[in-house]
Amino acid sequence: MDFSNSFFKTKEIIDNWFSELYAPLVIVSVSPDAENACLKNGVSFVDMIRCFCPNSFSVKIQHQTKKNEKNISENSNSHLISKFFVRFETIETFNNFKKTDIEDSLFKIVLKNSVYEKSENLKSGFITQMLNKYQNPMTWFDHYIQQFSKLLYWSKFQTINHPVSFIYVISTEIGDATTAIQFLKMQCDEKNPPRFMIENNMDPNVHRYFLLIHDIQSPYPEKISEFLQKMEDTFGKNYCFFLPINSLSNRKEKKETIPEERIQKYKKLVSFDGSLPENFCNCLSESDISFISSFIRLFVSESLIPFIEKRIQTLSEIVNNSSKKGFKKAFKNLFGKQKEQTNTTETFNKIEFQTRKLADYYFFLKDYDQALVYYKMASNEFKNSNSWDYFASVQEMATICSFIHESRIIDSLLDAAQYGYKKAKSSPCFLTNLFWIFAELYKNSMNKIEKAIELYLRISSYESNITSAINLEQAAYCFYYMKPSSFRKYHFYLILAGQRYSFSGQSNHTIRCYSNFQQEFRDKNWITIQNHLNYTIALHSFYILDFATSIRCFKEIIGKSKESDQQQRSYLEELIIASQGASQNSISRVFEFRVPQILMNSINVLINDDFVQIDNSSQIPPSEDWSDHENLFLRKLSQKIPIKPPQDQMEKIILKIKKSNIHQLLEKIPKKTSPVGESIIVEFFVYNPLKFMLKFGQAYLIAVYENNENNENNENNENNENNENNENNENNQQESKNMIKNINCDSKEIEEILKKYEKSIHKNEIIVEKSEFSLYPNENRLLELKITPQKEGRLRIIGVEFQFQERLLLFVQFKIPGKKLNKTKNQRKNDIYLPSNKLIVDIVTQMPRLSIQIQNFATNLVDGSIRKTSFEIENIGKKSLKNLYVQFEKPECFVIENINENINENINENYSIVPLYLNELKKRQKIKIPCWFRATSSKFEQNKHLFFYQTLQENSKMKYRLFRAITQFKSESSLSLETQIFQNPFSINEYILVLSISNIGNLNIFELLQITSISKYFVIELLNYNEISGIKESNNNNNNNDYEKLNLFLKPQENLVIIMKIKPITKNVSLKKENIIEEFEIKHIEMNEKNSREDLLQIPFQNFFFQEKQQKQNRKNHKNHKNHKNHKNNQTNNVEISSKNQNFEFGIILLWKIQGKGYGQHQKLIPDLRKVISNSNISESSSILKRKYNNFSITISSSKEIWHDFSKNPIAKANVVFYIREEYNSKINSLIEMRNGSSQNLFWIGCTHFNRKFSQNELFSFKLQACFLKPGVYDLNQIIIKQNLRRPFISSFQHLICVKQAN
Amino acid sequence: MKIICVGIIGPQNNPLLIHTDFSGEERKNIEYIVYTALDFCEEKIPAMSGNKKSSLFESYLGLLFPTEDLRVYGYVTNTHHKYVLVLDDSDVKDVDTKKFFVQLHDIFIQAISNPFYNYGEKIESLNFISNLKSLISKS
Repeated sequence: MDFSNSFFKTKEIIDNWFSELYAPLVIVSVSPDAENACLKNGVSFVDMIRCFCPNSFSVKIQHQTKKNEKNISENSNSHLISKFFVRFETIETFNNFKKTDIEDSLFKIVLKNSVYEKSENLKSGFITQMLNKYQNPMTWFDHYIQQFSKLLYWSKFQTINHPVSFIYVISTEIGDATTAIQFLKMQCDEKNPPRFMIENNMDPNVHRYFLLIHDIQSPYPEKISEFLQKMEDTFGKNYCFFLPINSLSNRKEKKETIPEERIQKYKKLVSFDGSLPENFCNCLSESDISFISSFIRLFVSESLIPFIEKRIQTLSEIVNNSSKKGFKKAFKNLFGKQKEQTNTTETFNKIEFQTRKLADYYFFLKDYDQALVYYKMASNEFKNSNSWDYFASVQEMATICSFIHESRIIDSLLDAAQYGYKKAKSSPCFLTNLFWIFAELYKNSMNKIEKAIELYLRISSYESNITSAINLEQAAYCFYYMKPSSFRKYHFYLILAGQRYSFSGQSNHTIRCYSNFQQEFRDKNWITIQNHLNYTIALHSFYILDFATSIRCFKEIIGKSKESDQQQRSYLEELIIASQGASQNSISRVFEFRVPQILMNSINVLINDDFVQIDNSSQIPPSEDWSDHENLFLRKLSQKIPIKPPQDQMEKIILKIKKSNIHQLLEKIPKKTSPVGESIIVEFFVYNPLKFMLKFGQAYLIAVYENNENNENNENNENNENNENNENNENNQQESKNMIKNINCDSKEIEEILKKYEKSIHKNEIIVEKSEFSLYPNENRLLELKITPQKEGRLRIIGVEFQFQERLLLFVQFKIPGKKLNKTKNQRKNDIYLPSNKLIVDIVTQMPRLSIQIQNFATNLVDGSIRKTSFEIENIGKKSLKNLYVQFEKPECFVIENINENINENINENYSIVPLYLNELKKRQKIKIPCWFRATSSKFEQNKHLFFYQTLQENSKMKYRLFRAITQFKSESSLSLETQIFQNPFSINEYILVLSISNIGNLNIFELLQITSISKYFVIELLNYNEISGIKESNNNNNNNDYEKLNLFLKPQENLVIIMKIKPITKNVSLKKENIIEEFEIKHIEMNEKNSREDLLQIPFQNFFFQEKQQKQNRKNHKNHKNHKNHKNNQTNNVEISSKNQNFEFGIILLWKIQGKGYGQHQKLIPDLRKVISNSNISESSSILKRKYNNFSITISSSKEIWHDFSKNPIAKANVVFYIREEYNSKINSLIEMRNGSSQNLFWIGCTHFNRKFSQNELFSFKLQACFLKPGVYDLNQIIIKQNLRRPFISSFQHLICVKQAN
Repeated sequence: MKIICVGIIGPQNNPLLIHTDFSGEERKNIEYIVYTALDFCEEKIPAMSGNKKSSLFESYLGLLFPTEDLRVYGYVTNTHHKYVLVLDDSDVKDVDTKKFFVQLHDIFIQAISNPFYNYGEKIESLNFISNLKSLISKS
């Protein structure tokens, strides 16, 4: 729909409006009895005429105009004038004329039309709706202009508004005929004209007409003829008329309906507010109405028009005669003495007034040529006589004539009119009226909207606030309807209009103007403008007691304002006052306020099971991985996957999780469940966006118990989620509406919720903890609020309420959307979210509750060390519990000691589940569960444990309760184990293991106690123990033992190489692929010596090893699968990992002790011995004794060639002595090391690391034993010298030795 | 020339910067003037681009409109950023205002070339504002 049609008037409308505006004015004088007869129909006589006679007539006139020459009938001299309008006004309008009355009526029009649409309903199309409403042809602006023009009636110089005719109306009920005639004679006494005619210098020669009304319902019908006869005798037949009315006693009784056309006409012309009197048209029949119509027609054509023609004739003669005299007068004025002339002596007898009147009569008869001639003539006269107001008025009419005649507005005439009005210093209303008329003409007829805007703006500069506001508003609409539209100018002038309305106290109009485009500035960063709009609307809404709008706008400002803190304070103060006005209480409530801001993403609902307890009770949030695992695991628990009871054999629970499903599963996290009487904590971040400190007296959570119906709805929503694919679009739309509704409650719903909440508080169903806090400017703070449910049911946490300054309650709803739906197009377009279950907590019956403490937990450990501790578990709840399990995040660190013979572990992919206590644990009962933990290689260890348990009587809603704990300790570096394995070339089933043990710590001296093979099929045999320990006798002759006792010490930064032979236990064992062992069996090693360490090391000795093995396998498999990389391990270059063939798996455990710090162990795993690679390159042999290397002189002494029978002994040995001297004293510590890397068949026995500070020319020597596994040529120069902050020195010369096979 | 306000408006007619020393009521009025100036800019832009005689796109829009005591000038970039310059009512040569706009264009390009600036958001770079201040003080 094009709304510009209602803004721009059609040519027909503007013609009618224009003709009506300058129609001959007829004054009606009605006797009271006649008026009473008319009022039976709910209207006065004048209104009755206005409503029930045609708007315009086609009348025949004798006078000939140029324009109407074509319409002259051939047989007569008369011609037709179409659209002849007549204005009717009561005589009271003139007799009792008061300017203030008109101004009052104008004010009433403004006030009546000041109803505005509340800006809550503002939508994108609102502006056009408003324009449509207010810019219809007869909107209040037109009504305002029409009413405004009445101000001009009481003017001397606007003769076009002077009356042309008088109608005197009496009724037959006035008495007898003589009285009636006397009454009429008195009324129309020409010698005593009405006062207003004399005062305003009006033409006394007016037309007079007499009307006799007869109320048909009156009892004196016989009077009519007598009355009429006497009137005709007295005033002439052509000037009297009889009008019978009220032929119906009651229209409603006869069930006659009023034609809609009449009602509309009444509303348009008389009642601008659209109201209709109850007895409207009650007694008028259709014949009455036709009588009225014919009366007016007769009055105009038979009486008024002839009168005007007669007056034209008379005045023409006078004016023409005087024009000859006028030449002489002008001549005198030019050459004679100038006399000061004033306009005080104006009388109608003056020729210029009569000329003007003649022009007006020509104008009435639409002879605009003649009218223009006489207007120009009059204007010269008025100008000469300095009668500026008369001059201006004549110029105005001349301009109108020129427009009508030539369809153009002569700017010079208009400017002259404006000049005249200004010169006369008359009331601005004349100029305003002039501009309005021409603005309408420019706008509608001439398509010169810019000119119209200019005129509107010119009026607004000197008029009163309210009139200038109206003009500015009209100018704004013109900008809107310009092509192309200038929206910003429209906005700007509408704001100016709003401001003027504001100055004149028209709050409604101010709000209407401002709120028209409040939306336009939203989110566009015009912050100052936006604040100005909001503040003005807020203020004026407050004035008109629309507190809701006021509060809403103040809220908009406060959240976004970048004003000073004082300004913000004052805004807040005004908001408080507005909200108090709304609530009429001492404490008022404001919804959805931006202060303090709540970061919705940070909202977290914590129940007792959610809390993480560390050994020292400080809280650490769990890591994401573990959280994801927990969520998945808990979901499994809630889905009733049984935790298998302990059995003799180890069982595996494998949670088959695909990564892609994780997020889907996470979305389906079940609602939280909390027992009655236990506190629920909601934590969230609050932020103060203002520039001053906010103090909140109380802050508390709002939560309500949901009804069963709501529960069902929510459950249905969940089901909907599962069945999304099967739903059609319509259902989805409905569903989406419900879902959005669940997230956003409107204020009414919230009020209901708050009432419900207060009831719950009253009944002690909920206990709320209130807390006090303050927020500094721009502070972000984590707030924790507690609520304790005392009744079973489904508790929904709605939001939070803050009490501010003991006068304001700020309610903020928690809005957490759930999963975003994207199945259908509608969902994708409209950003539809599922309701989140995060804020819903199922409250169930009382449950047991655990308290767990870890005893004797060390926080500083050496890597590999093992400690004994215990979990102290107590049931502090009100019910008994059973089936207590624990799940360790890192099972390689923790081993639970057997408290039950049947204890076992269930291992999943990454975590282990250990049953702790499966019997009943009564309330207040305590148990102690021993536990071992071992420090791992990482420097800071954090282990998370998830304890879960059940009530004695199972609860379907809360299957398991949880207890989360974190332990953490530091570990310092200790030993580093490196292994290399080779196949014995002379024995197929034997392997050589070279174990390099390095003490990488700085403090501890390690006592190596025992090295153990953990394999069902292999034992170990030390090959070089005597040499490294210095014991000449063999310590161990039992070749079939799977462990070797050691008695070695390792100082800081030293290392030790132990070479051992790996051989099968029995000869029957053949290492074939077919011989696959289903499960790896851990063999417990008992030590024979009477030492307490046997007990100490018994359990962890095997279990830790097993767990670490599991861990490493899983991790490596995962890594291989993920990255598809080659398995090149720096430490075990020669070994490929194969998890399938575990029968060739081999492992060793090294037990050690640190004096005063306890025991520890290190493990090494060789997954498959068969994968040993024995290829090696043997270099050429040579012998070089001495070389200089930088400032070091190195000398190596060894035999050049050795012969060895490798079939008897797999290792050939040679003694080598190294001499090192520093040429000049650097006084820096040097670390001397031996490389192992160059040849895989050469190893050093003895201490290969020395830390030494050389003095000048000091010779340092050390002795090592070189071990060779194969014949060949080897380079013995493997020395690396490291000095602090320098690059390591690697000697480049070779010292070769040749190893040969002895026959 | 005495510069009252410099406004930089984005392609979506959202203000990126409105720099003025005034505050309170006067700032509000100036912001309204800058806002209304956008209509004048839009009126001038198609007229200039539709001029077949001039093949080059003229960025400088000249005097947009005068008020009782202010004059408002405009400039538009190829990326439809609009610069609005509000001057006092003293006589100013077009050459000077054009030169100012070209220099403003340069420092604006520098500012939005900053990788930390999110295109379309308000310019809050202190460097840009100090450059602008020095440009204003020079002119």
